[in-house]
Amino acid sequence: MTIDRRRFLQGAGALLSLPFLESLAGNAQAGPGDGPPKRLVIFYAPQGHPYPAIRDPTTLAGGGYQLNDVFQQPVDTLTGQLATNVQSPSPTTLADFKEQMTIITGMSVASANAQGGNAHNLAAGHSLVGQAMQPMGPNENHTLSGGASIDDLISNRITPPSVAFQALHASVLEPWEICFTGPGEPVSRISEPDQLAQWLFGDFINRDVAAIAKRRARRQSVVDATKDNIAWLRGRISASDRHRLDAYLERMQGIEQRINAGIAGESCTPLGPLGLERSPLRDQSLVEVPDFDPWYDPDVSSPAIIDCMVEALACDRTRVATVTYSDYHAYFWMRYLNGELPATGYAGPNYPNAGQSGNWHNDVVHAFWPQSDPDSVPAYEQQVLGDFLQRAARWEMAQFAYLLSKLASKQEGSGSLLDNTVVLYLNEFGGQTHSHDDMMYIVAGGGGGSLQQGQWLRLDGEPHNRLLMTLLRAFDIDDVSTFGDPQWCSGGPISQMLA
Amino acid sequence: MLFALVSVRRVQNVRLASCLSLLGLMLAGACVGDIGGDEPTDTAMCTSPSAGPAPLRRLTKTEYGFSIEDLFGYPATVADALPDEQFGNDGFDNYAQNANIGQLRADMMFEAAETVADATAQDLTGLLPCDPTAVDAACIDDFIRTVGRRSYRRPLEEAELTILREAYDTDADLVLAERVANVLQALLMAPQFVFRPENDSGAGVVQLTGFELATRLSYLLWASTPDEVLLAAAEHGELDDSAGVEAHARRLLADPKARRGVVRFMLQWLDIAEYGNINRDTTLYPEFSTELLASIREQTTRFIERTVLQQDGSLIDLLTSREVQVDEPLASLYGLPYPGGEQWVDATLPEGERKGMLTLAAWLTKFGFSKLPATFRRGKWVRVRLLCGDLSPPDPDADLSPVELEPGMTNRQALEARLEQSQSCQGCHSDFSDFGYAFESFDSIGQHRTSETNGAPIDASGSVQSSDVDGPFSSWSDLIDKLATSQQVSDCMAEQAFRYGFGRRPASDDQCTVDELTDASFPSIRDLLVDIATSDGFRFKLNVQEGS
Repeated sequence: MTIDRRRFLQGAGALLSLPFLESLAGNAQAGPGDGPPKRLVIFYAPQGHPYPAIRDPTTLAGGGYQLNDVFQQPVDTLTGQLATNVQSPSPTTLADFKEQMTIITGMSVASANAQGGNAHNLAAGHSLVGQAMQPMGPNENHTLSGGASIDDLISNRITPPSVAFQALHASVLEPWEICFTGPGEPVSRISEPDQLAQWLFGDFINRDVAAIAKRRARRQSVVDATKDNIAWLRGRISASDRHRLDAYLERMQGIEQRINAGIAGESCTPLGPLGLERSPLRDQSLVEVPDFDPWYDPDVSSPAIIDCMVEALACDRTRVATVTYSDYHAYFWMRYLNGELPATGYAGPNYPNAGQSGNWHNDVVHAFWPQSDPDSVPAYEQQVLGDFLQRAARWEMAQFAYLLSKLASKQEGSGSLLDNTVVLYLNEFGGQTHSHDDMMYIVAGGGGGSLQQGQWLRLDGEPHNRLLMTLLRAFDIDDVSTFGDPQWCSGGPISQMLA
Repeated sequence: MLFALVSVRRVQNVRLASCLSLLGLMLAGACVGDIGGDEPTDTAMCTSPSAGPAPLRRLTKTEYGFSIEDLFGYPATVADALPDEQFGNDGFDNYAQNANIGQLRADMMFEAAETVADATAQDLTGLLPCDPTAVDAACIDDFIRTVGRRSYRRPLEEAELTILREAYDTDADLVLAERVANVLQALLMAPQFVFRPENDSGAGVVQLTGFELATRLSYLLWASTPDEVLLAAAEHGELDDSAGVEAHARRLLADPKARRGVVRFMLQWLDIAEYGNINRDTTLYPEFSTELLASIREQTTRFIERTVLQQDGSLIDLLTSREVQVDEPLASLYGLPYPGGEQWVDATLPEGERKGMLTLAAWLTKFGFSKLPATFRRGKWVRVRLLCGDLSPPDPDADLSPVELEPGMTNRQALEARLEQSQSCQGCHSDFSDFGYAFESFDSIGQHRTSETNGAPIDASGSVQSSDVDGPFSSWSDLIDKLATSQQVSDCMAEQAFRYGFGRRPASDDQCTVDELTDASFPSIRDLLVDIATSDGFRFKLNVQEGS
């Protein structure tokens, strides 16, 4: 399904007029002379990379490097649709941003390798944390994060109280727990674009300044009462439970921050109701489930969520935004099969799982890489399944390109929002099935002048904690000498990445 | 300590080397632990009231919605925007360890509270104890005390009244309805409402107040806030002795709202409370559809409601009853006659083909792959949820995917062949694989079968190990009959009710309570819940000495 989202974006009433916005600016913007603030965006995709060509060292020769055609999928910069699906007046590709990103290949999630366990669970708990996870309990092969994730540390450092949200966590389709505020404490994600837009900008839509002020006062009185109640109760419950109330008090401070924050930014364009409709993803192998709302078509929801994230940053509603794409089953990618995957009669010695599970994870990815060795994949699978994987990867990279193009389209001072942002692309796995080695990361954006761009770094076998430490340095967090498990931090931040 | 109870009562079945967990999770040597046992505890230690600790609990998403509905008549769906609860490793979403409130949950609660408060304050005539055109301070205090008592599930203390009065008296230029809404929103955000705090003053074992007990009781049986009758009973001291508690527990169980608490408990225990992402190969199962899946799940819900709440049945009835209800798609799935129409009708499961909840399509389908049954997950459920054994997690490298069937080979044979090659898996698997094989008589959408699609005949025989009913069984039916005579299974049901009711596993201080709960064999589920409600552990709590 393809919805022309421009229709919504251009809809009268969806946007607020700028003079009105300025009256609500509050003190959200950095003071004169400070320049625009730095922001962090994290884009997390499932299922590893089916394009070993990017790791071909021969293409590095001569001081330059070639980008694989997966990076060259055109996407419409207005709608986020694959440009092959629409008549796009202004397509772009990820390759267009080559000079604004560093591609890092070969690193390992060393802390995950050291721990062992369910690979998907490990990826979720280690990718942004970099330290051993803790057991969940008996009868469970899943574990819980061992600490807070890098976005949490950064957002705590860079977010002033005048900004509404400490962080914005969204997901396209099923939420994935990769960000944590502490050991075993994943953040919740918003999966519905309309809810997200309402969440970010609803306080300002269809309300005049007086109504907004009155609402703030009302809400503040509720927050004040709640804080008083927490303080009153805290003295009456056992010491071992007080941390619950302390955490709740912190949440009240978060609410207080949100209800009083303004909206500002020279390229800020708040989003009104998006008017998207849910659409059951249904094909011959997928059955929609009762008690389980149909998801949005990701062709629609992914660009809409990216729009929300970018506007949230442009309007200084948050300085940290993260998005995850589906959980590891990746049911939604089944649509790329277009019915080409035979439901039966597809079995063979190399892909015993094919067609069994009704999900991308088992039926395509594991079928493609049955023995964890891409070179062993027979020609038929290379061709057919490899094609499915390429389609999914192209879509994913196109969405990342759309994100970068939106960030680049937002003027900030003499540069763009992209210049002031650190955008981290990461994937669940590296080049092979369930592998935490041979990872590919992309760090795009200038980070406010703190990052080197336009390079490809091969850091084979280096622990990815070093990348996480590099992010800290990009945000001028110099007093933290390690991140995650210190034993994987030797070598420190990646010096080639820092300006 | 994860296995406190096991270590107190009986540790059985030592399987060394083969079961060492990679997470270092398990106690040395025990692959399977269980609550069961017939060796009585030293009864002398149970003569005075004894109870375990009571960590602070939070209203779950579901409880939050029902509470709002019961307090203000606002639809419980207002809670839908809250993040989903995490189902812990015991399958219940109400564990105290999950009581944390993340930022998004707090934010969404704030929004929901605002929505409910604004809507409720639309009609002040029904809400205020005085004429809305002639409101004075006494009227507002009266209003706050009344609605506060319902929301906090006990009378307000003076300081609490003052806090809410300030939310009313805010300096902002507000109309009456807005001030009233402020109070309501503050009530719904108050930790006194959001959590279930109990008085923690005094060290040692202390008796709960009537109001605290009313709260425990209603969240146990209704998943919601106490009604006025229960609060009044608390006020009049009717909940101060176990006879009074029993009377009210039985009243709550007879109320239609018991469906919310009791059925939800059993659905979570069965592992079918969440029923998402179930896909089937429709070339193999052309009858499979959204509608069928909805019917499949509803049938078990109806079965539990009828067997437990209407017929006062026991776990034996749940395991063996053939009296169910079907709609047309299910009648067709089960090969039963159907009179036509769109109604659910009473039906008797075909003899020799099905009996009890483990042969209904909901449980069987929950544990299924696109083509083949998820045999080991069925077996694991029996070991973990019906016998309360704990299993170490599978090897990280273990192949958990469905097997590929060679012509003439059964799913069981292929699974056995895979296990044959996985030495490290065999030890633990011997404790639950056979339970799974017993249900090979049912395919991935719960259809009864005697052979695989490739014609190979099904073998559903096996033997029970690590239990009090060890020995061979010839079929799923034979296995169910054996389990229905097991004291260990009966005791495990009691433990599951304990876990749900207390929001945690039993600890050593709960030993007397557990002994009380396990001295009967297969009580009716309602009686079991009444036993929970009247137990020392439920009516008392252990306050730990303040360390700092």
